[in-house]
Amino acid sequence: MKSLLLVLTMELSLSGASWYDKRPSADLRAAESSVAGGEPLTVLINPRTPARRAASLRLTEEARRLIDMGQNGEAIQKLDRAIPLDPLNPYVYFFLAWSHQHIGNSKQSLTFIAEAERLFGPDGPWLSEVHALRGKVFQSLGELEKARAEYTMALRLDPANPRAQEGMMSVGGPPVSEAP
Amino acid sequence: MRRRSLIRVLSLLAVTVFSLGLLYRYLAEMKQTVQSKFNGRLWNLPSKIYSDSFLLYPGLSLSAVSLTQKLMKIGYRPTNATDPRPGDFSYRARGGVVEIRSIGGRNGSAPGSAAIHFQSDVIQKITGNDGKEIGLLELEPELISGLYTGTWEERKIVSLNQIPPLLVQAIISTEDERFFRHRGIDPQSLFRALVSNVLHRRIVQGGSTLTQQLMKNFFLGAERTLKRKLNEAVMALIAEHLYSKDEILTNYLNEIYFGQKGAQGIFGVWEASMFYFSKEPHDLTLAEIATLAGLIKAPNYYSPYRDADLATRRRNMVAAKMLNDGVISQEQYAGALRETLSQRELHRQYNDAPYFIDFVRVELNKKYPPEVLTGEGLSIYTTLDKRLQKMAEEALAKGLMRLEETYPALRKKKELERLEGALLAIQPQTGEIKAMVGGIDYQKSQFNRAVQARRQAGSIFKPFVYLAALSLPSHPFRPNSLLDDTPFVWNYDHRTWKPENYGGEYHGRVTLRKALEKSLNGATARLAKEVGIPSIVTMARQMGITSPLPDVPSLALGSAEVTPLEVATAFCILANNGMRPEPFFIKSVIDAHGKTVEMKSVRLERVLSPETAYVMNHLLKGVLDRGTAASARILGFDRAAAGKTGTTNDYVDAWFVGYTPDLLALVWVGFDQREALGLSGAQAALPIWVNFMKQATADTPPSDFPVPSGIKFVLIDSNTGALATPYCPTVIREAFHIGDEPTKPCGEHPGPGTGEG
Repeated sequence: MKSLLLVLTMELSLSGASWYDKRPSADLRAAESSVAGGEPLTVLINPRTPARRAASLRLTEEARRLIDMGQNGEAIQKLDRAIPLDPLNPYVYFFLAWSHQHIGNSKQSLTFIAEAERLFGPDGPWLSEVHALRGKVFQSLGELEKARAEYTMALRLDPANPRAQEGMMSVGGPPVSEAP
Repeated sequence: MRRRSLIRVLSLLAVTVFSLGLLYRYLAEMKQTVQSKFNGRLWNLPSKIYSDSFLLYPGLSLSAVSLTQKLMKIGYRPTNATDPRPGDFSYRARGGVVEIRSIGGRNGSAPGSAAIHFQSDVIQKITGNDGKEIGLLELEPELISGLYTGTWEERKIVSLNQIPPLLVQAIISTEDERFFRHRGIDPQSLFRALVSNVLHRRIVQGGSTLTQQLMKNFFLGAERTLKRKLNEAVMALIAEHLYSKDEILTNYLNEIYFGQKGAQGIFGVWEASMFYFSKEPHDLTLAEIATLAGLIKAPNYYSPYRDADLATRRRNMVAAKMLNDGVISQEQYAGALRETLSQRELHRQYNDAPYFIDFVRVELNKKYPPEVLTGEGLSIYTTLDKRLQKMAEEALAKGLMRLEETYPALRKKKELERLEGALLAIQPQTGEIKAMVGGIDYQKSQFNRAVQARRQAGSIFKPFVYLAALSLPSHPFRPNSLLDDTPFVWNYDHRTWKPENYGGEYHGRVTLRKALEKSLNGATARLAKEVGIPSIVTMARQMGITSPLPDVPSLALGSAEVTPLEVATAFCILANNGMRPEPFFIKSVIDAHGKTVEMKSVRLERVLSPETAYVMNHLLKGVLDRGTAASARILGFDRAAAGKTGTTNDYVDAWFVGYTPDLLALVWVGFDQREALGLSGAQAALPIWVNFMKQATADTPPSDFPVPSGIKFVLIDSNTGALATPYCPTVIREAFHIGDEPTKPCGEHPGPGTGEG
């Protein structure tokens, strides 16, 4: 929290996309190791997007950039602001889970992952990332079997998910080529 | 003769030695005093408590006028200048545009520019100074209060190189033109003052140097005695002997008093610059510099807030003196005189949320020693929404007054026995406390009923009974389950408990929905017996009730005493689709150097499945639509909302807790002395809640509780609870966990069943 700020955020991107149903072309998979890389979440904003939802997405995108710069504390503050603007924005919970995992708050990370998973829905495009992140949390808790199961699930949904591949290798799982 | 002379000499010598000893001791004491001040912490910097910041974004419902009012409250000033300076804003009513040049500066943030375009009281777009659209704009938080000892001295300490030389020269020129030529006291100036005072036969001129003024402010009072003047002069000489002119000047520029903003005293040039002109000293114009320098003589008299004409005349005198001393050129002087000094509206700093601040203070006291809180200049950023806080205070005050007017029996002669109340508003998705009113008058009673009052819960506890029932494995109880609302006796531990309905009226066989909507004691008690008190206690604990819960049947009807805060927190779980937010009110603590000392973030925990929370919300919406809180609709609150009234069986406590998906508010009304109100929660607390919520939610778009994927809606007969047929006279759209919905059509009104997915 900083006083006397005028936070000038990213410019509006008004490319057409319906709400949460578009897989950003440069999503996490394309972003390699950088969670904040690629096309911004603001591509999901279109002229019909409700104002609060659009503001929530913009804050989430700002947080994503902060995460990429390693500023997880600041990212969490942004994401905390984004929640009440649109409690149904799954990206908020996903990146909250990501940040909390990075600052060692595994319990809170798991809660946010569950919420992101619920809001992304069973066919959500980011579901592979959700499982990969949960695998990482379990791994950090020393629960390697659970971690392996999550990485397996992530790779089943997206065999090219680099974080799941890397995670699976680090827990001594099957080589990527043999992953289900 | 000789002996007498010798005695005289010796006596004189002794007196001299003794006097010199006293003088030495006096000087040593003075020196130590000066040194200890200069070498120690010079000033106590009060900690400041701020509200939450304010987010602007396209589509936000907000009028341009409301924004300009808010801007002025946080220190911006209106201007028509073509070249706006930091802290300026302009409003073009014709185009519906508010242009802001941010203040910047604090904590290293840089000033920026933005234009906010309005259309029909909605932000249409925000553009930066390059004309490009901006998605979000965060305005500065408002100062709520300070934590200080004695008087609230507001100052930011700056070094000499952070102050523009012209301001330093203006102050020297006005207050002590020979500052760099004297050694602490200025005989020439003293003589001139003496002559002037004798001629006027009253004190018109001081003759004190800056160093003397500093000594007076540091160590001595304002009394005009010879002793004080002597001490001041001696200390000034010592200070000048021990410290450089720059050190003395820096301390003076940080110490000097510049006026009053309500409870806040404005000290030092930086704070004065911000207070009078909303800009840092380096951004001041010559005219503004002259105004500030002129204020030192009598800050509240020459204040531009008080009298712009008088302040202008004083400014011109200072500018003339600067010209005369060769500090500025004729051209600069003429330019300064041309500048208009407009009268500004003073937004006095009062503690607008005293109960909240007390609550914050108690929490801070657990972590920080008092001397840190009142001396180290911490910035404490809270979750408080000042707009909601004002609405909450007004709603409670008006509501209680209305009750006293409507029901004369509630009027008490003794002030401390007056009707009391509390109101809490929480953002359910985050747990942020947005408003807190702990009583009708903080000056008379600092007891914070919102968090400290432990009162009987009454019917407001019933949702925990129903939640325990709905959460039983295999779901034996569903919204359409039928319960007996008939006189009932519960025998336990060789004792008997006989709950009665309000008004003594029983409804026979009712659906679980109706029992909850109408808050029926008989049906609820029977349900509690089926569920078991231990399960109810477990559920209440899961929901965050921490007060003692007696293991007795009457618990089901709210015999336990609880605090408003824990009840509000528990209902946040429902409003937040089953996730418990940890309530919090301090977002971060930043030290005087801008370093984060503490940061708090949203903490959530899943307590109920989204489906169970939704079923409960759907039931509690009925409380407002058809049940005990139906008057909310008559009073004009038409948004989707759920809630529960609470009335204790002796009518001592009246409660209402209600929520939309965006905001939860709880109202409690009662007497501290636990006298009977004789009113229900719907009569006493609900109107206050409605008044508050109507205003608080006015600017947010209507929304409903999100339907989780595991919910199925079915039309049922509202009396039999069975699947509705086209022949059922009263039908209700009920929410069920998928698989729990009834499949058999209503037997009392035969016909083909209807359902919807």
